[in-house]
Amino acid sequence: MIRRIVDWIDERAHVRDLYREQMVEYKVPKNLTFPYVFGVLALTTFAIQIISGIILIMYYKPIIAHAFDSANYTIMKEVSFGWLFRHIHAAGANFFLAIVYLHMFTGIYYNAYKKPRELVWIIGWVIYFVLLITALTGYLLPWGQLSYWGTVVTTEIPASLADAPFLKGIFSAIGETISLWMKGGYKLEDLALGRFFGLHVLLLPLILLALVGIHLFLVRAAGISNPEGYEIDKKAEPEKVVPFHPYMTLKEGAYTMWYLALFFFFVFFYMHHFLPADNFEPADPLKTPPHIAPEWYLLGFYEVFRSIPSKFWGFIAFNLILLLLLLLPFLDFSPIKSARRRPLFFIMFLVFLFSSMVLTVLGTMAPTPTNAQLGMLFTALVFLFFLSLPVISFLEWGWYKARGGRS
Amino acid sequence: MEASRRDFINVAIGGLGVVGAVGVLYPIVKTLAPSAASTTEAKAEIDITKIPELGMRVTSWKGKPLFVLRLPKDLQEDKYNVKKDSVNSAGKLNYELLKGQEAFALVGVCTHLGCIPLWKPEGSEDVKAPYLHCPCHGGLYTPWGDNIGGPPPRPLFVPPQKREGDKLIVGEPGFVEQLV
Repeated sequence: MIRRIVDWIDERAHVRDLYREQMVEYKVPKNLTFPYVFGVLALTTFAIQIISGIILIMYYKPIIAHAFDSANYTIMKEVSFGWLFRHIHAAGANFFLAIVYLHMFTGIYYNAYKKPRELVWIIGWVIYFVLLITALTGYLLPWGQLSYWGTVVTTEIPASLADAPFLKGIFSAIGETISLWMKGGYKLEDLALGRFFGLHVLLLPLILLALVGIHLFLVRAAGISNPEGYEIDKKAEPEKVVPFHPYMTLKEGAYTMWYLALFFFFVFFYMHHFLPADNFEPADPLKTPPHIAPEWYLLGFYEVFRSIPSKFWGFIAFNLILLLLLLLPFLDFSPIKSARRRPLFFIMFLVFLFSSMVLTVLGTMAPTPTNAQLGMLFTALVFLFFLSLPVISFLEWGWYKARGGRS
Repeated sequence: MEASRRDFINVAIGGLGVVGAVGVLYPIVKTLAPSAASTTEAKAEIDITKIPELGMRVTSWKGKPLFVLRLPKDLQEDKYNVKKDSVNSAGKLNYELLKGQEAFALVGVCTHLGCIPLWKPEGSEDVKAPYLHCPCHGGLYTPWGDNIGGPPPRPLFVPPQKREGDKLIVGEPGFVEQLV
């Protein structure tokens, strides 16, 4: 019976051809390492976020008078298992960013942004950027103290442009305008909550879905990168590749199960970090909570921003880091791929990785002068990584040519 | 055809998959279940000592208006010109289920088009005894909800109810079982 149904569909949609072409005849390199699994884990987390988000949206009310109670009473107490889906959504947001960071570091390590994969990297960067905005807009919705004040501080960031050493009038006007347009007024009120809600539950997820689709299409179009850094000719070297299904699907499926086990361990036993106690206090525009810091996934940028004495240059610096990440394929124009075969790049990669982590840790600490100096040092090291790439590429081009064009 | 190891592992993984799918779907479906708050509306408790004789207390049960009436013992249905062929889902007149009870509850929704009837304890020109009058199209009911006149096709709905001391408990079967 099932066979007949599939036959009927197959005659019209050619699903079996599609399955054969895209699952079995699509070949992946044999030597992919563990970090290549993060893409699938990110996709899994995205699915979890969409499902849990749809359930939450049924009961959440994006009106200041009701927002806090709808999140903390209706969802947490009235709806059966509402607490579970809120926990899943809050933990999922953190896991999503964590996985995306690991995915990005993997891509940088294996130079997966180089020709012919520049577009994969660029679209991936846009996904990351949209994800940050999604996290930021979702953070306001529960309308707790941290939600409110975190958003107040964030919407004030463009105002730091007023600190410019030149063209002060123009920059302060730009900064104030951006800030006003984010909030829809001078204060965070129903207008802001409404637009953040609309962005968070509809527009941004739709954009993300589209971008993820394009990202996956581009990965397939350009071919998956290789830890060794050589491009595999799938026709000429059949011994180096295996069918995507069952080899890749089963292995990544197994890793996904481990990941879900870890994820649900956090959901059930370790939620106090993802839902901090301060946010179970309704927003009070007249009282700032004592401990206010951005979420961990923004702490690196936050530290760059606050350790630089001039607000203006701090603002420029953290935006420049984002921009340089986008330009990575063009900064690193060396023909040689993968940190495995590039000792100089590997050293700089470690510097970059370590500096990012240190900046994140510094972001949690008190803003003492010493910490500010450390912050500036590691900010400088992050920029050193980006600036070293053209130099390393130049050297590697020389060696490449000296070897007669063999990578 | 003997089962191979491959068959075993397929069945084992399939079984695990089913367990996982049930584990995922159960909480998702359960979020759509009636809330704990709404289930409290499935039962109403009324202290009948607070209702005067020939008085009516209007409360709600399962979101519908509930008429709780307390009648004098000497009030009988033969005072009314009841339509004997108009019966409830038990095939009886409401009076047969409710007679002898000093207090009982009816769902106050007219069976014609769903308006809420009015309680006329002092009677009127036409009906010389306490009765219920639906203002929309003039449906007339006895205090037990049986039809006297007007368009209503059936007696008023009698919810399941029982007595516990001074309390009338609506929503649990007692002297009235579950009707449809």
